[in-house]
Amino acid sequence: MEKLYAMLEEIRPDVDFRSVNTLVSDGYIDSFDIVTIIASIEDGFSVEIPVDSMLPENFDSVESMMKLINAAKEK
Amino acid sequence: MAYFNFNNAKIKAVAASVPDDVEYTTDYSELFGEEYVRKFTISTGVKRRFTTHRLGVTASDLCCAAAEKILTELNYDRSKIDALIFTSSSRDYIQPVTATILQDRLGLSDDCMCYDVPLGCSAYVYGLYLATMHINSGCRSVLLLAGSTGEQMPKGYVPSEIPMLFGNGGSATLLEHDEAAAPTYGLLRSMGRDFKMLASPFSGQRHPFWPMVEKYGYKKACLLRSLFHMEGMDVMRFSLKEVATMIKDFKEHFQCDYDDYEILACHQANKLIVSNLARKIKFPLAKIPLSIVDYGNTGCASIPLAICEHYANKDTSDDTGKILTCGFGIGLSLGIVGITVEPENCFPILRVADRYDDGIRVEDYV
Repeated sequence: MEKLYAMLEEIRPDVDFRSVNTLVSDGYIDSFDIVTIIASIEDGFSVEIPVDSMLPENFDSVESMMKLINAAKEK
Repeated sequence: MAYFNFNNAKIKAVAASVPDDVEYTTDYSELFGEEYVRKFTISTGVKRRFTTHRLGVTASDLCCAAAEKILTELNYDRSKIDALIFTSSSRDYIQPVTATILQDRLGLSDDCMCYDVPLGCSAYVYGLYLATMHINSGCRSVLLLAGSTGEQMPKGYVPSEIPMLFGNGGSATLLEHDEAAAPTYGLLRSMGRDFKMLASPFSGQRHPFWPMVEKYGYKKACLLRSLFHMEGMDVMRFSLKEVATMIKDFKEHFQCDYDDYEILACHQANKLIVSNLARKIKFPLAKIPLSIVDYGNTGCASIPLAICEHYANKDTSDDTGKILTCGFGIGLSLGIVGITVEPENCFPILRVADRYDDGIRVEDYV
């Protein structure tokens, strides 16, 4: 989880990823951020995140992003 | 499956143009905030763009200048042009089509068939298909014109929405019957089910203007009429899934090797989409011109503009001109076409300041 926090904080240092659980729905991050986050996750965790999972609910919190990574690892 | 493969159509020349009025993204720092503009530039790549909102130059003006450049440079016999296709949503009038106006302006013959194709960012690849089809149906030469512009705005205009992504541009591509021409081949697709993702939903007859005035008042009806809606997340998903899938299908169908192509002239939606699309399809980003940096997203013109920007700024003596073109956007509509251009006939991007006077005066009508 710390590795993911570090990635996210590098992409958007102005966002408090550790406490906000409504990152997309409350507009903290947008579609540009999500594409950047996916690219970073794919490179950093050596997984492929399906494009279909580019949905607001999958990026609203760090926990939900971690679930995506774990699901991608199992494939 | 809309795969196609045509012979006999040689792409003789490509020219592109922009309005002679540049705006830098940082010009908007005060209006939208420095931090926002900084982040916008990183994500989209746009550092500057050329706009029509002050000059009032239209897409047809830009396309006309590009076509004149080609016809003059090649000293081309205009009577050979049997078809003119204007692929654009930026029309001079709702009626008639803009293509006939351009026929007159360019001095083409009465035997030249002219029509508009009001597509968006896929316009150029659809236009390539139509032009090569006409060549194979008996046309000697075809002029394919593609461009996008916004409207001229009143003096002192201050945008309420972020305007920095979209630049304006026009282009002309001349195709000629030639039995020795390299093939033109591709794949076109459409996904109308998702049309609401990118649309001007109140711009036409489905939601007519005067009933909107009755219901919402004149000011709001005017705002609705010019509204352009874009679902950012959905557009990203479409670009990275459907476009990537189409390119993979094309590659498999035509047994292509990316190494055979000098560039992928990709629609310049934004830098993030282009770079991630390259990553998804495993195409070297270095071989995709990023004209969005200096011109913004120029809609229908973005592919020919990228071609000209690439070849006009280098020594082309060793170039084959074999390239891929890929357009995608509003409709939803998408396509990929393999073509071969003559690199020495891809001209440097022109700047156009003159707005055509059609002789129409309000006083003559009311």
